[in-house]
Amino acid sequence: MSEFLVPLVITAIFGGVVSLDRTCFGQFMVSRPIVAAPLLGLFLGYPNEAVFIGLVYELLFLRSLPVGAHVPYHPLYPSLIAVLITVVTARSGLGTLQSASAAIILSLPSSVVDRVVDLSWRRSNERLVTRATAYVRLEKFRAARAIHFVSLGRYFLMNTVSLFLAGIFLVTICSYLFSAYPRISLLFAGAGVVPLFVGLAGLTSGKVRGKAWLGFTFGLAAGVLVSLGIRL
Amino acid sequence: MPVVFVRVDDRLIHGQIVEGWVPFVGADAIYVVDDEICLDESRCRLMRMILPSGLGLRIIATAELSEALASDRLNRVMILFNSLNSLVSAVENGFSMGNINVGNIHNLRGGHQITPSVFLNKNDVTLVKKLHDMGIALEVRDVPDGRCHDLFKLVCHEDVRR
Amino acid sequence: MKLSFKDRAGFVLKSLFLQGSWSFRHMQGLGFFYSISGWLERNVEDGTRSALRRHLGFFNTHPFMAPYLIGVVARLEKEGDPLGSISAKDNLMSPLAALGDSLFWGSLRPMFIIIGLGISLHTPWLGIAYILVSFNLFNIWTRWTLLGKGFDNARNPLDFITDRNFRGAIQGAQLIIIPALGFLLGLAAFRFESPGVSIVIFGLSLLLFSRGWGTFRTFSVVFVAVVILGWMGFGLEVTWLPWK
Repeated sequence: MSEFLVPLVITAIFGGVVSLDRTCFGQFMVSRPIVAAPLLGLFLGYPNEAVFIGLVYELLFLRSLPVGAHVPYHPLYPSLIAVLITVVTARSGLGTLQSASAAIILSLPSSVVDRVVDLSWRRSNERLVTRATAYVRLEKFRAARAIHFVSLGRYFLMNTVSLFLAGIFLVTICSYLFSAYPRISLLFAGAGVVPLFVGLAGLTSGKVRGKAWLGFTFGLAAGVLVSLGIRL
Repeated sequence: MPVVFVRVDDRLIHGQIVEGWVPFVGADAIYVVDDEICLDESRCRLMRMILPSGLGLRIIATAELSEALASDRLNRVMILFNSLNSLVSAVENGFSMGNINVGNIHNLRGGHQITPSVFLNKNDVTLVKKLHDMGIALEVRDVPDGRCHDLFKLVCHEDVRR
Repeated sequence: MKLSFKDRAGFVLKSLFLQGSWSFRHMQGLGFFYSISGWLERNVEDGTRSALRRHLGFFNTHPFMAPYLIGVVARLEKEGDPLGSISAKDNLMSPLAALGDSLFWGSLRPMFIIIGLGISLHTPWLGIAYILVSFNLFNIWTRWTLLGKGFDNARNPLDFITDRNFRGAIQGAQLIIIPALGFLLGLAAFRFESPGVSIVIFGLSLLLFSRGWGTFRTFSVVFVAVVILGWMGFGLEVTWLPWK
């Protein structure tokens, strides 16, 4: 029991702290999956798989931007939960890289939870300005400023709790799946080829312009040469 | 004059347009249509500055719209209105389009929240109904990947609730 | 008039909390109030309360660009020009938001991240450190300089912004992104010991380059079926995949 609970609590608290970076404080990129997932993986003892998870989620979500009032799906929850699943199910018989690959697909829906939490936090903040205005009217300026931090604390708590709950749910499902139906989890892991197909289809759709092709081919050639050089 | 996209957005050219809609609809030119903004030198300068390269920009008054579109036959045009008011006055001047996107309307004074990014006051509500009677559909969607809502239905729903 | 080091550091630190209580109605309104209220208390002698009321309302711009407006408002309020401060804020916040969105979120962040991902295919921790350090140096530097520039150019806040070559910066970053993506793809193709991991990274980079998700909307049932069959075939039958 404890070998399940300890990583879960670490993930929830780590996720709560890191999620503050996303909107509330600084935007230091700590909440990007390529940073957050490997850090968590380092705490929990599976850094290599966590780097893989971070890479995949970063590439998947690189183009979803927080522009204006639009709140995009964010890869923080799924990437952290995928690391958690990898850690918990490491001894289920699949290799760690196998379970990481399947965990990436299976934890993807948690970005919906993430967004619901984020939206409800943003809605619950609407009353804060009214409260701050009341304090300003009473000349209690310090209290008016303090209200700003109410929402920060709330964001941390909401994220910690919902990560904990989503973690329990998904880890339970995955531990069961991985041990009872290893072939089904292989199927999930096999979804790794889907981006390749869709990417190739995208190339034929004509959205890529001539100039981009030139730069792309140049970069591709350089990359292949460098990696062959590294191998030799 | 292939008009590919029409949007009502009080922030005019901003991230949702530049990063989201322009690549999605494949526009070559943006028309900003508003009677006040086309006279405001500093706002015109700012808009020119934030425009991505390879994209044309014209800032014109509502009355000039039909004429400008008639003379511009090559581009795929995206039209931005600052408010429902300027959209209605353009429609009254002969502009027609079946389906119009609504992005941000932030009428905080006297405004009532319809969706997270749309706050309408009483005047706006009558305009929405008027546009609906003219057979123009208004859909609320902030970015291409976002969810779609029919503004008229939302407004009616609000009326019933109140 | 100059801004002291202490004030400047205080403003930059407070501007980090700008989106701390983001809401749909007022967006960063309370965050802006939080950043500016201490200064107003200290520097506006008559009518502190009304000054604070003025700056507690709707505000929304790009978080990295906000220090510029904080600087402008701080200077104008200290000089006793409330109307000027309000009109500067109202006129500039949405163009600055647009500029920031395409400069930081649309160009610089993907550029730093893609380069960092390329490095992390070789040495993971170096790539991660690169992303954090390069992006955040830029983050803090932007906030710090823009705050000072806003304070200095408070009389004509527009001129400073329109004179900068932001468009050049955006184009430069876009020019780097595409070859960097190609480089990432080339690295991924041969980098890993297991071909399966290569396939995943390779496919995702390709997807990013071709903006392929959009095709899912228009694509036929046949295409989806081919994808799913291919997926099942790979998942169950090919033996050299890493998950085997």
